[in-house]
Amino acid sequence: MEGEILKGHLDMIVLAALGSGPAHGYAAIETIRKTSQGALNLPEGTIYPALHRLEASGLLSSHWEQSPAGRRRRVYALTRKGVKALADQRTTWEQFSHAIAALLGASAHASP
Amino acid sequence: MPAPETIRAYLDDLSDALGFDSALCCRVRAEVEDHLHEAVADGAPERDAVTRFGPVRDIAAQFAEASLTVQTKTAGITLLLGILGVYFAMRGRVAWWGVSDALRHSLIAAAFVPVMRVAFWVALLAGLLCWAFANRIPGARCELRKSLFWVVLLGAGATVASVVGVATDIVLVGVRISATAWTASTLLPGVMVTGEILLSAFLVRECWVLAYRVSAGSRLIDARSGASRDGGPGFR
Repeated sequence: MEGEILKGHLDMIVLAALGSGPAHGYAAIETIRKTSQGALNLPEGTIYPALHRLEASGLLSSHWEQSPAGRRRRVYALTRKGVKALADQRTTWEQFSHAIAALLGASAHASP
Repeated sequence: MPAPETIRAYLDDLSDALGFDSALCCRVRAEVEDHLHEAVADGAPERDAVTRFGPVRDIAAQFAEASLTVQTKTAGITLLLGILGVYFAMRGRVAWWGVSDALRHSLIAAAFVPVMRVAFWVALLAGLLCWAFANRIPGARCELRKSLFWVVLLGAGATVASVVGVATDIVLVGVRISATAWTASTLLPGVMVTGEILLSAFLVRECWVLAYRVSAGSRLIDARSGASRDGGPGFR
């Protein structure tokens, strides 16, 4: 999928990846990749600044944990505000995608 | 500069790029290190892992954007609180001490009191504008650069005005103390003036750190904008 499209929805994608529970950055990226069956193949490094930004906005909280290999890792989770933001964005997205699907469907039928 | 091919080289380049903010640098390095080692543990060669993560300068610029947006907001409110702290220390001292004849008839006081008042109001106005700018920093990169510049400029203006206000206040307190016999009641105003000086020093330090980080971070952001415009690596 085109980078510009993904960029516009990066925050929603990251929030959705953490919707099923707390995760560190790598796990969140894996969730995005697997759930989208490879369609959302983001440059991995772009997820982390988004995580920092969403945390600063109060939509995520985070804490350090020890990985099985003994390294420090930052685990992120949705805050209450983040859960609400995700629900709002999901509703907006559904309305938007229905509208676009209807528009594209209508133009496809009208085409000779 | 050739692209790093190993995790160590990538992390070192990233640390260099984010060296203007040691706390951010430390956190990012730990997070990225864990990510890259996870990728390698999942079977990716080191070179692929670092390539997939993205160009160092591009990633560093994104971290700088996210971090500077937060830091300017914090600096805006810190500055405003600092200026108000200086104001309350001044008012508290006047309330405690009252206005003396030594100041009423002093030429120095006649010259310095208006300067102190103007300096305080300039500091407060610049501090409020700085805080307002910091709280409406936009997402667009060109607008972000402009807003960061204004936040630093207004913050510096507020800090300088606050320092001028405190300096004139020190002179006035000096005039007052020189005309007063030393008693226990002289001690509290002295402590308050010391508090004002410490607050001013803190504001100068905060402003300096912010200016340094914005300057270094902006260079990264500019370099990324240039790379994106030229069709180079970026989040296109």
